[in-house]
This record gives sequence, structure tokens and C-alpha cells, in this order.
Amino acid sequence: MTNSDSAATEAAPENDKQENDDQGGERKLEIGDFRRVDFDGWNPSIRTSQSTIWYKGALVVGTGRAPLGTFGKANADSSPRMQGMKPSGSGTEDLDPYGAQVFRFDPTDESWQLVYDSPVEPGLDGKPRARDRSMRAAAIYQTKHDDEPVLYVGMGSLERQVVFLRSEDGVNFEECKEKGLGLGEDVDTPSVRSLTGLNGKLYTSPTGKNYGRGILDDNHTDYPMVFETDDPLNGHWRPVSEPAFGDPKNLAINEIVAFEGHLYVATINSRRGYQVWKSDAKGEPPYKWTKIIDDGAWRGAPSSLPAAMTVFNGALYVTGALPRQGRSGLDSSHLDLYGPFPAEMIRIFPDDSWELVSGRPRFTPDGYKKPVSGMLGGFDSRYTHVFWRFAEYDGWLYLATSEWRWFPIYLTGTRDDLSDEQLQKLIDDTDAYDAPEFGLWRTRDGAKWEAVTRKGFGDNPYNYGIRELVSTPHGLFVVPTSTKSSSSGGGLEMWWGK
Amino acid sequence: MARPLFILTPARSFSSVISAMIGNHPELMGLAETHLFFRDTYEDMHNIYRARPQTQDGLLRVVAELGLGEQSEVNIEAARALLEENRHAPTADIFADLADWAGPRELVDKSPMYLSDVKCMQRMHAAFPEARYLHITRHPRSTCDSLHQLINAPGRQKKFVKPEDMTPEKMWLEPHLRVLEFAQSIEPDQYMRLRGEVLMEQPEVYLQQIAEWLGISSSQTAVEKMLHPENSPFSRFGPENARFGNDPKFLGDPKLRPYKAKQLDLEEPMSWDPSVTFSEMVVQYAYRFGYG
Repeated sequence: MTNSDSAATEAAPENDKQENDDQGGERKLEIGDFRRVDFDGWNPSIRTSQSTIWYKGALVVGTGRAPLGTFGKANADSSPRMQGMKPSGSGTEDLDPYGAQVFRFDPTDESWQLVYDSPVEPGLDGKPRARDRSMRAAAIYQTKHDDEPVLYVGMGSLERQVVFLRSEDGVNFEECKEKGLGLGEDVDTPSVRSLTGLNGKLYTSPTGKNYGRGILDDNHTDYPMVFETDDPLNGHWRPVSEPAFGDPKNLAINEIVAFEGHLYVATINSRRGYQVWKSDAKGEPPYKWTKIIDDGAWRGAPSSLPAAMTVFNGALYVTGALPRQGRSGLDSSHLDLYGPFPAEMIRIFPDDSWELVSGRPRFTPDGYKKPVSGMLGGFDSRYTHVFWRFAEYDGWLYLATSEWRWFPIYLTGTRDDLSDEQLQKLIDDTDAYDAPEFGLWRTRDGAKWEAVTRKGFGDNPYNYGIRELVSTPHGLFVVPTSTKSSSSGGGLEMWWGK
Repeated sequence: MARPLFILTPARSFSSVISAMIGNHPELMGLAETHLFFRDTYEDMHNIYRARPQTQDGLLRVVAELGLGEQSEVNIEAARALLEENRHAPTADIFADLADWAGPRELVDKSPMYLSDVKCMQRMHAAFPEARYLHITRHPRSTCDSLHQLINAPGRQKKFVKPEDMTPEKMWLEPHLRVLEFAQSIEPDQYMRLRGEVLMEQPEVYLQQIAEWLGISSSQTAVEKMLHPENSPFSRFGPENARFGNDPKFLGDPKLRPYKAKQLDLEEPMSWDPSVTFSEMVVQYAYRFGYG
């Protein structure tokens, strides 16, 4: 294994590298501290990592591919502006045998090892096809039935149900027995986004709708409930919340985080904006849940999706975004056609009070909120689509973003809502998009944020955001995501900062 | 330099009561509807006054109250004369005089007419670069229903209303779009948007925040004064020669009453015409404003 390009964009002066800002804290990474880790062993379908985790001295890199032939059908053909931005190489029959893989990267000798490869099984049409689409979630946790903290991962399915894997060494994986989260083998539970441990139990929630519906429903589910088990290997999953928390506008549970002895759960709500619910997960299920954030932190539908949650310095950070899926006719929410709307961020404290970190000031039932960062949504860029991933490294919280303009769905309609001047500005801005444009930011106190880069990593024009960000004893690993699979000139990259 | 607060809201969106409440803050002075920024000069306003004489009432009452000490019939005529003497004055200069007279209180002004053209808001910004703008929304169904009822009320002149204007796009969406366009041209801390329904349901909660945003006292005493819109000198009918200057319904009963927003949908057709439904764009903007 060899190393290659150093990142060339926004390289910091050498003498800045050892300095800390006035907030104190450990050394901060600059863009020049990152280099690309070369590897070309992915199968040709791979274009992203939706889950990567540090476990037992190595990076466990889960990989993923696009779903079967559905991406962009509804939108990408409808506008000349979208041509060339349309993802390709996914969903074609020649990629059918290729599915999710898991690699183990050892930073001490920079060796790679394939530790899991999706089995190939007869697809729903009888043709041989990879079973697993993507490693979508991972957690290291010791449940009541584990002798030590072990690695659990959720493998999203191309056509059927999520499969949980368990590993005690990060090399050998065994399949957990129960499928469908205890709901049966015929229910549509293709994937999970979150795996979180609390009180000796593992928690998750299904996401997506596979059965004939595809990526337009990738974020939604028929079962928006929290599930728990204390014996993941044997299944025994059971629901511990009321479906959708009693609100039919909650379309899925996107994030689950344990914080200060409680579970915090964030829902997707396309009509009114995401919600955050909290429970101590004690007593007999369904547990008592309390809604502590409503209506996308009172921004409304432009914060439909809680994209990321993490705990840092005694607060829970939550980001909100608008899914870009052009969902006309499906649930009547396709505000993305009237975008762009920048990502926002809040932070919640254990007493349920909260602050706006990045976003437009607003009046709320909890008082007047101004962004503590001093920045509007998207850290002052209306084209920052998602605050996608967090990681704490060396005392700093890092945040990875993605972009609207690589896929400007907001220019596919007539935009009768805009004046000529407004529309022209949108077109000009979009035409000025110079891929890759996405960011990595850092903060020491959660309020003062600094850009590590706004121009991505390297010069791969197919990368449009950072999908995984992993802190390790050997450095911070950044995994951008690509519009194209490796068979089409894209594929997965990994960058290493130390 | 004065820092007036302009309340930007389409007609029938709580503008009268909200303006009167905010304008009753001890550090503010809520006005009757002056419509001044609808045109560049006072002379330019005369076309409107000729067509709709009542549109002048608000300005006459404000000049009488702030400039001449009280709203009497005599003072209304004096105000009219004073304005005629300055017939060629820019409307922004007249507004600046009102601000001087009201000082140190800052003015609170509203007129649904301002939302008919983004130029009105640009005039405000040019004249008062540090002004603040509070954008109030109301559910599109209740806005449209209320407007339709108003326009079709017995005795109401309909000659100014074209049938093609009686659509949710014209009545609700387009005014809001103009505000959003204007808001892009000013500093973020100059603009706030709020659903009128939540303010009306919990006025104590939101009036205090509005005061905080404006940088004026948000004390309980100040908020308590804001809860009495009826105490404004413009929250009642004026003298016979300038009776109006605001929504007559509000002028007849300006007290704040408990309010509970109705659960309204976006799917059903208009109450007055089953063939008219909300367009997709109206629905999406309703979601954007929190009416999902």
C-alpha cells in the first residue's frame, strides 16, 4: 500500500500548524496535514462509505453502492442543466454481483484486508445479485449477552431486509439470526441508519423502503419506531416507542444517540421539520418519550431531515437539512425544488435547553434564538446542503459538509417564485460551481467555527461531500462520497489527517 | 438616524392588532396606516387619494397626533394643509419628520399596500438603511377566506378587484415572495419572520422576543403595555374628517382577545369556488412558512 497526493487546497502556512487558537486545546488539523490513502481494491459498484468505525486497532471501512437503477430517474433527465451531473454506473445489470464490502485498514503498516463481501443470492427476479447494498450503521457495544464490547454493523439490503453482523475482532463477522427486527421476514425493513447502546441494550430503527420503491424512499420507512435488544446475535428485537411517536408526519427515525443516560432520537418530518425525542429507556416498553425539539428547531420544513447528531463537551449537536429527492406526488413534500436551503445546526443541553449554532435567527416557544457561531445556515453559504458528519479529534469537533450545486434540483422547475434577478443569480452561482466544493470545519467550543477546507480534498470532481469522518489514535480519517461508482471513474477515496 | 420597524404582511394577516401591540411598547410609537412608501412623493399619492379617499386618513391622523398634539377635526384640516404645502416633498422626508416628532420613540409602520411592489420596501431601505422588518405570515386558507369575505362584504366597492386577482397566488403567495426577495437585500438581523398565529396564541412569549430582537426593553412592564393595543391613539375611529387609517373592524373593537389557531388543510378547494385549489407552489411555500 502506498500513499499519494497531499491535499493542495487551502494549505495552511507551516507555522500555523503548531499553534492553537485563543480557545486553547490540542493541535488542530489543517488541510495540508491530510494525504490521500491509495487503495483500488473496491469492487466496481462502490461509490461511498455510509459507515466507517475504529475497532481493535484498525479502521473498519464499510462501503456501499447505489440502489438498483432508480437514482435520478425522476429528475436527472428533466433538465439540460442536470446532464453530466447525473450519477451513472449504478443499477446496471453488470454490477448486479457487486455489493457492500467491508475492509480493514491498519494504519501502522497501511495494509488493507477485505473482511466481508456481500453474498450473491438469487434476486427477486431470480438473477444472481449481491444481497447487501451498503454497510449503513455500526456500533461498538457490550450488551448483556456479550463478554466484551463487540462490533455490530447493519448491512442495508439491495432488495430485501437489513442484516446485522457481529464481530469480536473486526476480521471475522457472523450474521445475527433474526431479520426484519422481529416484525417478520416479509416486512420492508431494508436498512438502518443508527446503532446505539444504552443500559446494556442496542437500539436502532429501520430506514428505507425497498419493495419496488427504491431510492426516492431511501429516507423513509413503514416502521418509524425505536427498537431494542439485549441479545443482538439472536435478534429478540422489540419496539420501544409508539409508531412515529403518534405523529403520522414523522416518516422515519434518522438518528439515535445516547447522551447523559438518555436516548435522543430524531425524526424525519417533511411537512413541519424534524423532531427530537428523549427517553431514559427504563421501565417497561413502550418507554416514556418527551419531545424536546419540534418543527425542525422551529425553522420548519427546510429542516426536515436530522442529518447528524453527536455529543461534544456536554451538549448534543443536531443538524438539519432538506432532502434533495424531488418527491413530487409521493408525500407532497418537494420543497427542494424551491431551494436551495442551507443546512442548520443546534445544540441541546442535558436540561433540554438549546441554542442555535448555525442558522437564521428566529422566534421560538423557547425564546429568541440567534446563532452562537454568528453564522447563518450552511456557515453562511446557502449552497451548503448538509452538515453531514461529526468527529471529535484531539479536543476539536470536526464537521463535514456536502453541496447543493452538484445536483441543482432547484433549477429543474420554472421557478415562478423568483424574480428574474433572483433566478439569474441562482443560475450564475450554480454555473460557477467548481467541483469539488464541500467543507471540513472545526471548533473547540462549538461556537467558534473555522474552515479547514471549503474546496474538498484533492481534485476529484465527482466528490460532492464527506460521508464519513472517523477519529482514531492514528489521526482523523475523511471519506468523501462520489456521484459515480469506481467503474465509472469515481469510487471511494479516503484521506488521512495527522 | 431613525430605526423604524416596518411590519410586512399581506392584508387580513393580523397586521392591525400586531402593529398596535408592538407599537404600544413604551419605546415605540405605532402609527395608523400612512402608506407613505407606496410612492416617491406626497404628490404621487394623490392618484390613490382620489380613487380611495380613506387611504389618506391614516397619514392625516398621524400628522395631527404627532405634529399638532391631538386628532381633532381642526387639526386634521391643519394636517391636510401642512401636507399640501409640502406637496412635492419626498414621502421619505415626511416619514422622517414623523420620526422626529415621535422621538425618542421609534416608529412602527405597516401597510399591506407595501407588499404590492418590492419597490415600496426598497424605498424604506433607501430612506432608513437601519430599519427593521417584521414579516408576519398567516395560513393561506384563512388569509384567502378572510380576503374573499372582505371583498364581498355588503356595501363594499368591488371596482378595484379583478377576478383574476382572487387566487391564492395573488392574495397570499406573491406578497410574501416580494418580502422574501427584499429580505435577501438587507442584513440578516434586520429581518425576522413569524407566523401570526403563534404570536396571537402566545402574545406574551413572542412580544418579549420581538422587543429583545429590537434591542428595547423586554421587561414584563413593557410587555404588559404591548398587550393592550386598544391604548394606541390610532386604535379607535378618528374624527369625522379622517375616520379610518386602519381596518374598520379593528378600530371598532381593538382589544386583544384570546386566540386559538384552527387546524387548516392545504388540500381542499377554496370555500367560495370548488374549482380553485392551492397550487403546488403555494403548498410548498406554506410548508416553508410552517403550515405543513
